Amino acid sequence: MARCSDIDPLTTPYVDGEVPPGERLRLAGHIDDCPSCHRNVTAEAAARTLVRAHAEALVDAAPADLRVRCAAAARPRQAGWGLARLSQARWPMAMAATLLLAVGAAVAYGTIYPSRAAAAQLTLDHLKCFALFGQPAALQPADVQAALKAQFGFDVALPDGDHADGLTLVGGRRCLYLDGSVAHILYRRGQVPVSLFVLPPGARLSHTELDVLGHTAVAFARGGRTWVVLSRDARADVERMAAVFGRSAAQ
Amino acid sequence: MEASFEQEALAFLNRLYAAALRLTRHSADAEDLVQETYLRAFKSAHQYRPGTNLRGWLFTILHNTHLNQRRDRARDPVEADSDAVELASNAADGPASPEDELLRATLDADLREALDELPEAFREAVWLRDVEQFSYDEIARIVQVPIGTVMSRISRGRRQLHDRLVGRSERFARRASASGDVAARTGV
Repeated sequence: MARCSDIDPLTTPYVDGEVPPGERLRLAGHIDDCPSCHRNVTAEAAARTLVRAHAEALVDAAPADLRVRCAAAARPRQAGWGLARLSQARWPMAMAATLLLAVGAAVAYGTIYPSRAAAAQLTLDHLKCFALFGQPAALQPADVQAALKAQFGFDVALPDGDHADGLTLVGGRRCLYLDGSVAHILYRRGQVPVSLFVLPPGARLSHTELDVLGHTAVAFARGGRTWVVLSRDARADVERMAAVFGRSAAQ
Repeated sequence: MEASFEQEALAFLNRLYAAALRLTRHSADAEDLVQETYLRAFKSAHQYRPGTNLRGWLFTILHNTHLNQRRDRARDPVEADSDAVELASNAADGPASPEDELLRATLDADLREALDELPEAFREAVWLRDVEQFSYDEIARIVQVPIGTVMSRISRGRRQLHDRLVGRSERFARRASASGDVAARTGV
C-alpha cells in the first residue's frame, strides 16, 4: 500500500494526465481510498481546470505604446524620428540609477520641490533627450498633442508654426523624472535645444525662475499644472518663449 | 533574417506582458520588465538558434530580468518554498464548495486577484503551466530549478489557489447572507 508522502509528489502529473497507465491505476487506487489525497487531487484539478478555462481571458493585451517601444528596441539606430520616440517611456534601470545618482534629489509627488534640484533634474533630462532623441526633424503639433493625450490623458495645446516664435517642434516623450509622469516636449530654436516640461497636477516649483547648469528654467501655471521652459538661451529669450507657450496653453 | 527574428519575438508581446503583469503585479513595472526583456533578447539574438524554442527562450529572459529588477528595487522579499508557505496552504478551513460551482462563479478578475495573492514562485509555476502550457521540463529550464521542484510548486500553487477561491466565495456568500438579514429587518 502506497503512503501519502509517496503519492503527494505525483499528484501534479496525475492531475495533468502525465503518468503512465499502470502507475496511474496504482495512484488512483490510493487516491480513491484516502480522503486527504482525494481532497488534494480534487482541489488541484479544480484549480487547473479553472485557470485553463480562463487562460486566454487572463492574457491582458500589452499597451500599444509598449509594442512601439519594444519594436524600437529591435532597431535603435534605424527607428524613424517621431511618435515612436514619444512613446519611448522609460530607461534601462542602469541608466536610470546613474541619473538619479547624478542629481541625488529626493522629491515627492505633490510637494513643492527643492527647485534647484528639480531644475537640475530637468536640465539633465533636457541634455540627455536632445543628445539621444533631439534630431532636427519637424513634427506636427497635432501629432504630438494626440500622443500626449493618449499617454498622459491631458490636452496640451502647443503653438502652431505661425505663432511659435521661431521654435521648431522636434519631439516629445515621457520623462523619467517623477515616475514618468512628466511630459517632455522638445523644440529647437535655430540650433539651440529648448525643452517644455509639463508637470503632473499638484507638482510645482518653489521658484518660477532659476539658472542651473548653464541653463535657464522659467515656470508658469496653466490648467492646474506647472509648465517649465528650459534652455541655455538668454533669460529674456526663455521668458518670451514661456509667454508663447503660456498663450497657447491658455487657448 | 534579423527582421524575421524580431517579428517572431514581438509576436509574443502579449504573452510576455501578461506574465510580467502577474510577476510584478504593477502595470508600469510589467512594461519596464517587458521592454528590458526585449532589449536583452535583441542584444543577444546571436545566441538564439533558429528553429529552437523561441517562446521558452524569451520566457527565460523574462524570468531572469525580473529577478534582476526585483533585486535592484528590493521592493519585495524573495519568496521561496518555505515551511511558512507550506503551512499557509493547509490552513484553509471550511467545507469545499462543489467544484463546478467554483468554476461557474469565478470571474476573471477574481482569478487574477487570487493568483496575485500566491507566493511568487507558485504563481509563476502555475502561470507557466496552465496559462502558457509549458512542459515541466521547459519550466525547469525557464526558472532554473529541478523538475521535482517545478511539480511541487505547481501542486502547491494550484491547491492554494483553490483554497483562496473557495474562501473568497464563502466570504462573499456570508456577506450576501448578512446583508439579506439587514434588508429583512429594516424592510429595505
